[in-house]
Amino acid sequence: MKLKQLSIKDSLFKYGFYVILFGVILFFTFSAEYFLTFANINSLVHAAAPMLIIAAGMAFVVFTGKLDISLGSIAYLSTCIGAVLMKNLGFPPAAAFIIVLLSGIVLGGINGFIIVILKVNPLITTLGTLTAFRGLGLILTQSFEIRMPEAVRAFGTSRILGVFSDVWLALLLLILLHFIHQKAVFGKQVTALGNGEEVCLRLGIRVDRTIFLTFMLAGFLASIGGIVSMAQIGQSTTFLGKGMEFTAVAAIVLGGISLFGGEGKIIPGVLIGVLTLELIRNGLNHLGANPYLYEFVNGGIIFTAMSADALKARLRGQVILVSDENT
Amino acid sequence: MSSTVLKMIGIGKSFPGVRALHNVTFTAYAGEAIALLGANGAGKSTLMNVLGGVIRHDDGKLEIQGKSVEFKNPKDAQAEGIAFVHQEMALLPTMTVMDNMFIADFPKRWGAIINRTEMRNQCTEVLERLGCRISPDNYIKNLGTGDRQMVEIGRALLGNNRIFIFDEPTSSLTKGEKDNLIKVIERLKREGMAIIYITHFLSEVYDICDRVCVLRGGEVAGGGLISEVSMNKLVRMMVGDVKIGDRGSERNTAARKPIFQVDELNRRGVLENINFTLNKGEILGFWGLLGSGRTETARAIMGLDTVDSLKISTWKDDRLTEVSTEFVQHNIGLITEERRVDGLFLPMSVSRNMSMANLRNIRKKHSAVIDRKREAELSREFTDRLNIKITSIEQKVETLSGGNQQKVILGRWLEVNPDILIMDEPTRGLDVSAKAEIARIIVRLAKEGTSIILISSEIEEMMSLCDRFLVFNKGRIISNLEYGVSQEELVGLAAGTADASKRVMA
Ligand SMILES: Nc1ncnc2c1ncn2[C@@H]1O[C@H](COP(=O)(O)OP(=O)(O)OP(=O)(O)O)[C@@H](O)[C@H]1O
Ligand SMILES: [Mg+2]
Repeated sequence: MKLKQLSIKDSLFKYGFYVILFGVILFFTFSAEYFLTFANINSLVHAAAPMLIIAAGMAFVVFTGKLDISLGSIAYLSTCIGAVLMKNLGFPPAAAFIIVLLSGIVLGGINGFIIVILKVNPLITTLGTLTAFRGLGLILTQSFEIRMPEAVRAFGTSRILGVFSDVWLALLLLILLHFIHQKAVFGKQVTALGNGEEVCLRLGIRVDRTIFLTFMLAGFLASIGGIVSMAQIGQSTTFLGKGMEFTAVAAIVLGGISLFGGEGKIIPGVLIGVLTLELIRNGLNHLGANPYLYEFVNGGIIFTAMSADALKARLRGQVILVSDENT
Repeated sequence: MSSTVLKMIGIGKSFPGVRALHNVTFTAYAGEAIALLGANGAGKSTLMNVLGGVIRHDDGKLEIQGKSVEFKNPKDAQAEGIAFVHQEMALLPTMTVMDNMFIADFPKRWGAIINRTEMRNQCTEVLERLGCRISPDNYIKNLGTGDRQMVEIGRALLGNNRIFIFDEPTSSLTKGEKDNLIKVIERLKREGMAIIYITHFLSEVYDICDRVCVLRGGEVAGGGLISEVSMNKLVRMMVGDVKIGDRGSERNTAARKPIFQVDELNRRGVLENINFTLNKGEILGFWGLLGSGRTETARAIMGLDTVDSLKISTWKDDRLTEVSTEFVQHNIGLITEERRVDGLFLPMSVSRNMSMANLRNIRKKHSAVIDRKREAELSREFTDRLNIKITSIEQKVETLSGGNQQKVILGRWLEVNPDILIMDEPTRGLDVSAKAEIARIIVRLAKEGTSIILISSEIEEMMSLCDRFLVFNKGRIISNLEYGVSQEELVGLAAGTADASKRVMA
């Protein structure tokens, strides 16, 4: 058997995302003065760290062919719980953060419950919890900003080997998640779900359990992203996590992870997607561009990446086998 | 030597509006293959879905090796050693062959991590046993239908199974693959496994099976040792008396008038310089092996794949004029082989599915509104003519049996009644009487002036219907033969063993 593929189109899809990334870097290197310096790249990746973590959680949901647009609100509500515990009840940061992580899992579990047990469409479910969770957080903090203890603020700006600690954390998590996606049974089942739930049921995969776990994992990662973000800012603010879910979706599509489910990788997908968006934001900043221009450019990129995704799905049927053998 | 492995006793199952199974008792023995036969919609797949834990039965009970069992889901059935090769393949296109085979039960290390070495070894071994040369790392989406079916079969061979269900496993296999499957089944039998084999090819039953059980309208119509039942008797048990739709030697002898022509169809690596002409009222057979380019040619004509070059002309104003893809799509009917993927809107009703290609003609006068009454009338007419087994024309297509789904697609194009019709494996998965009915319809259409391109892997069907044959081999047309050619010659040409050079088209 010989496998003949539409090679040019195929490789364009395979490497198109690198081309965009490279193009962006090239453009800003020549147009913005301090763009390609270690200090700038370091702070750029630092700024991207929370998004890397949250987008990785989103990626797992997307692998199953679903979306979770409540992740930004989960990041917000779970960190609010931690901030209130520290400030009002005098919890030590470590204990408070453990509770933040647990809250993330529980909030993700609530999404899972509504989707799996109550059989509500995932997009509708998380659209509901997007508002509900944020509302709860605002009630909890009475929409005040809560300052973090010094230890937490110190973590937010600490470095290891010159690189910000949270960058290391994000990378470590990404590698771990990539491994789970590629090598663990759970990861394969998540990918399988993206190919169709009915088929999975027939194959004997525990579909409900896997969906449930995926949303819990996404919630868990959202709460880690929330902590990192809170430590960076030094306080719990009312806009923490706002809009992050949409940026995460954009980054994922940009990283070649199909919204149809079942295709794409954490590494390099999430890494490329998130960094490309951050590079553009950072670069435009350096050029002194109108901050709203970023939103516009961002929109354009999402649109382009989505069309590429849809086009790829259409071309899928076109790879054909040519049989050589006689039968 | 044969001991009872499986007993299904008094099984009953009703769906809204249909009694799919009634008091069915079915027994399978160790070391034997039992054929489960019946017309489209007789309840074969439903019975096996009960056994596979896919659906729950209303009445009756299951016993495996004398022990009463109950299956809540497919996993329970798998745990009892039941392997199921599904009629509509259960595969994951974005994943590899290996992942697809093991997805329900990966070999593991430390409880959660996949043991890839172990997985690869087992997978390679099974593929070898099947005589299948695909790599474990291939993605399903890059495989053709035949190979996909092999993966599905391969999955069943893994693990410690003792009951094997094959629901129409050979419908898209080549001859070589079929032979391999038969060898594998022989071996399973020797190892003491129980095989349940569903097919519409009766000759296979005599090759493979020891026993037979025939369903008709959801009830057992008969059965016994295969050596004691003749093929005629089987057919009668299944469908009553039928007349097989052979055209005899009657052929379209009128002067040939070209109506449709394809020039210079090229698609790199897939099709090479395809040229041919179709005449009015002609049944033109595309003959060749799986993957030889027959289906690809049909798809290219319909504009479903991008090609490097293609010119299509049809007869207009007394000459052949080049036409656009859009024209082709509106005026040529295509009946596809991949009904679930390419053809049907599964969650929609039978009636809606059948009118889908004909919407332009069932509008109310001077408006864009669809005349639902006319739609229903037409659907009723064609479901009757094709003898489609449904409870009402509002039934959702996804709840029809495999064969009846195929008939819905046929009905859709018969409603439109186009001048040119391309049929790709129109009778795959159909029972004997339905096949005969389709054959009769094809002949009648041709008589009425419709030109038909017929693609079928069943040589008898091709021999009995076609006026002319184009033989495909590795993406090229290597021969253009008239009716009267021998079966041996056709088979030889397709395989590339006969000498085609004398007959190559200019
Ligand atoms: N989910 C469902 N809802 C309603 N009716 C159903 C459903 N599943 C099957 N049926 C009906 O049950 C009957 C038996 O179907 P089944 O699929 O078992 O037939 P089959 O013998 O496998 O036919 P084929 O040879 O065409 O595959 C059919 O009339 C079918 O329409
Ligand atoms: Mg069936």
